[in-house]
Amino acid sequence: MSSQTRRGFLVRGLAGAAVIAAGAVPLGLRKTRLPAVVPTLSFFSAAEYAVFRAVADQLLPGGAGWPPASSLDVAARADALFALADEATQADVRQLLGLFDNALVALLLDGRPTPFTALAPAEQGRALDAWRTSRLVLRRSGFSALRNVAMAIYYADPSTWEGVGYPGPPEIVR
Amino acid sequence: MTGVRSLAGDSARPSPKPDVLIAGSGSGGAVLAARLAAGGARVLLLEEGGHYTKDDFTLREDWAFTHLYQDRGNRATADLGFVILQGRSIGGGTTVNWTTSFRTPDRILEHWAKVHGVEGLTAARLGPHWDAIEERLGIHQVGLDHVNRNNGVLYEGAAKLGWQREVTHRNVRGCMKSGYCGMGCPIDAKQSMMITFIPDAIERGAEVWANARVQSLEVAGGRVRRVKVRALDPNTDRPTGLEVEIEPRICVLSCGAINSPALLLRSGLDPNGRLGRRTFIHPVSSTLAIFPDEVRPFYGPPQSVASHQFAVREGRMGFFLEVPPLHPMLAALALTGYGARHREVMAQLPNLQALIALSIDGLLPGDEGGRVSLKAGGGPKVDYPYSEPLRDSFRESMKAMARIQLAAGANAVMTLHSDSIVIKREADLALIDQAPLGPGLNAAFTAHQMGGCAMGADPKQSVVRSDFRHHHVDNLFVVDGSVLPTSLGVNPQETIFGLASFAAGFILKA
Repeated sequence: MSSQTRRGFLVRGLAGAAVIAAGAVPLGLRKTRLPAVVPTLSFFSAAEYAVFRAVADQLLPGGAGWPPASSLDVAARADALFALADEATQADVRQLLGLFDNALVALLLDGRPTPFTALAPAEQGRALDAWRTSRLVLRRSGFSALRNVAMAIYYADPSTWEGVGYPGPPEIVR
Repeated sequence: MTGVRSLAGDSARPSPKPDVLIAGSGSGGAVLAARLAAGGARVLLLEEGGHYTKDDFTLREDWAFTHLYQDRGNRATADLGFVILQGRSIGGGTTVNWTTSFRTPDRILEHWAKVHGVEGLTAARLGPHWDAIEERLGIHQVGLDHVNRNNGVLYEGAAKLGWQREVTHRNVRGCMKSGYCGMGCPIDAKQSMMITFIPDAIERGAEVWANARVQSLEVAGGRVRRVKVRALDPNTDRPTGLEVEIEPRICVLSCGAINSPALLLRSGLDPNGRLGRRTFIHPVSSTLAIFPDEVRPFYGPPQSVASHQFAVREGRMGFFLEVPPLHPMLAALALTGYGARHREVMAQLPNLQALIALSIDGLLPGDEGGRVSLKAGGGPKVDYPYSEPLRDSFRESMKAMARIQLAAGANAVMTLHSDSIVIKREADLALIDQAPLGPGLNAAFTAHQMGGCAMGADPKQSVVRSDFRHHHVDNLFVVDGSVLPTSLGVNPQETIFGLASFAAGFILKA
């Protein structure tokens, strides 16, 4: 399989040579704002962890008795999940997180020259929505990828079940 | 169950020269292994997934999806338009199947004969195989005591509208109605392959190995000469480095749709460019309803009711209706959106009710469905485009489901569009016609994977013959859901059981 197919997941879909060029620029990830503590990681770089963590907190902000995603360290669990994914998926995830926080991509697509992690929370919400509602299918897919993984990890955790009203699995007499 | 060994954890090695090597221990491979072993063949059954039994099943979604599903629960189409729920462990999909059991509809068998030149697959010839399988697996029509409130909405709502509905047949014995079929049955009530045909096969001398991935086939002179098998670490699914080669007299692929065509593609066996084509998925649309009373959609048997009112829609894609369980993780994935609004709906989970519509793909002229190809690293890549007939089926099915839910007393119905439409009365249904559908625009799923090694008379249009034999490789058979030339319009497991039992006759004579 050609490397083009492997890289194709996002880059090809972010139509326009300018954006593809931006994806190739030494990543805007250098400007990524890191959280105070970064755990030991097996797949993410510290910057990739920071991006996923910021996205997960926007998706799952917590409040009113609900834990925010970061208090369950959804990003660290996503790291463990991606560490066991196949290499094509891993490459896609890295590319996606890179593009998500790339200031030049943000400038070209959304007119703001700031990495996602450096935005104020309300602006992060608007940035996420720009991905979710994009006319570019692969940008929407990128949003779905991050959303689904974060949601799955969060709601599989028993600490969220009380809020959901789920009593948990029944006792089984085996 | 004793007798299943692990290629990663056992110092012994599989028999190097069995009569028949079967790759895959699911609904196709397990039934076939039992039938061939009973017929006197020395069978080697290999499964890439792990071996888990009832005491392993934690009934937690995070454990179940990472251990019992393909790609650790993350399988999806390349554009993420469809989440693909597909089983992977000893027993294959039957370990996590929601137990709904239908024989193949006559109209589908007739379509295969007429359009695809399939010979000999008739209800009359398959009937005795289904009779025996239903007996072995305890398949029977359940009573209304199996119908929880979640399913009751379909039963009641369809009746109020005058639409066809039925209580389904399930492969269970002594079901406690917990509702956790999809995470592995904790009491062995579900008659999965792991507790039925696999022990039957072992009892008659078959060897069964878990954590053993068939990597590729070596073919020369129109015959499979060698099969390369890799041991996978049960904790990481990464190759351990151990590789063995088997030289079977006959090789059978029962890896399921998606994985069987991918294995043949990895082996370079695609002379006519048909491999992976005609991949069908019963694309699933869904609507969620909020009820004034508690539904508790996480408990009680899934899919105890079905409606085939819209299975045949002249010139249009048909669909059938069932009811999934809603546990927190699956509910969160199905509901679109995020943040506070998503959470507010999640907080009403006990009052939520879900319907699914499974679109019957592959029957309209020109409907080729999706395609399996290879990713870097050799894994399967699945593409499934939204065609206009599919969009029509999704729109009409959402309206039908909303009507049922409103008829059964729902306060409101939510679609799974990225910007969800809320339906409170008949007049709101028209909003569905204006909402866009496609990857990232609505949540969609598949739990039924079919095709990719389609059966048919013409080698230029199909991969295997009507006797399940590969068109170009003499000692290679494919016996699983991948041979289906179209989707089925019913849940596929019993079709595959019956075909595997039927196929055993050809293979024993080969």
